[in-house]
Amino acid sequence: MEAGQRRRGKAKAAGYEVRQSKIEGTCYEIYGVKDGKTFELFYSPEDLSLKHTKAK
Amino acid sequence: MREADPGPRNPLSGRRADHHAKSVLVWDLPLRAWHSSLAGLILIAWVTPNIYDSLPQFAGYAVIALLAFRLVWGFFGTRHSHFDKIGLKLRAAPNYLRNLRRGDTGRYLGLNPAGAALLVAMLVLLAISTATGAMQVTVKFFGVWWVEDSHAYASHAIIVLAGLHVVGTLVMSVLQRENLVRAMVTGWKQVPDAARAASGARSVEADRVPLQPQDGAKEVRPLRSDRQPQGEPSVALGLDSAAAAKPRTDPISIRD
Repeated sequence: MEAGQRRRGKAKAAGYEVRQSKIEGTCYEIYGVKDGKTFELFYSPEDLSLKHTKAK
Repeated sequence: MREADPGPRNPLSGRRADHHAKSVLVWDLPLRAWHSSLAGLILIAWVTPNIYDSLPQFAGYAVIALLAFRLVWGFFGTRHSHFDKIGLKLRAAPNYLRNLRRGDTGRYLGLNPAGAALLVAMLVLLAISTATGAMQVTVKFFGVWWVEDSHAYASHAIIVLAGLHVVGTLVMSVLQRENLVRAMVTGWKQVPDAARAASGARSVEADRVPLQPQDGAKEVRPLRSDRQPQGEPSVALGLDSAAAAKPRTDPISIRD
């Protein structure tokens, strides 16, 4: 789960508390909390770049 | 309740039953409304997630309200909505299911033991599913794996149970020659001949009409017809005194 560790690390570095990390369709998805707000973060499987962030 | 209503037609003969003698209001109106709204909301919650987030959420809150209503109605509703015999029926359920394999369906005005077991399982799963669903939209439990998993498993189990319920209802309708779907719409159910003859005798044999494919309920002996004056034909399951009627299945007393 090296890719999992890396995307968790990316989300943490961006200031998110990571709740869950999984593969959603063709994206890596992180469930994160930042400043008391909930977000879903979507990372590209190729280069782990952040594709988009969805406030929940 | 609703004494002026004409009785429903017998689905086979087309004869309109004299409901004073032959059919009885089993499912009261609030219960029927509860049943259909619940079915609709479950359907909504089932097909909408991942398309619209707010719809299943709304459905979930509405189901919580319905669950609360059902608990209240389990104590204050009419006879067949009551929870007071649920425990006894649950204990009868394993035996009932075993006998079902022989085609012995029994004959119940309210829920049969399998139906009671399904009701309880359904209510528990709905509670788990809605509670975890509501937790997911809080910051504290957002994305927490066991909340998400419980929600998913409970919700899928609800759909499986709902499917079982539909199949069970249809099979039972055929085996017992009574349109049970219609009964849940109108509320009225046919009173089994034997039970009617017994005028509400609280005996297993009167209630549990063994339905043989050929001769229907004819073989059943009315028992203890002196038990009750005319009134609501109370079809019972279980027995009051073990000596009076030896049940073929459940050795416990349940009055439905």
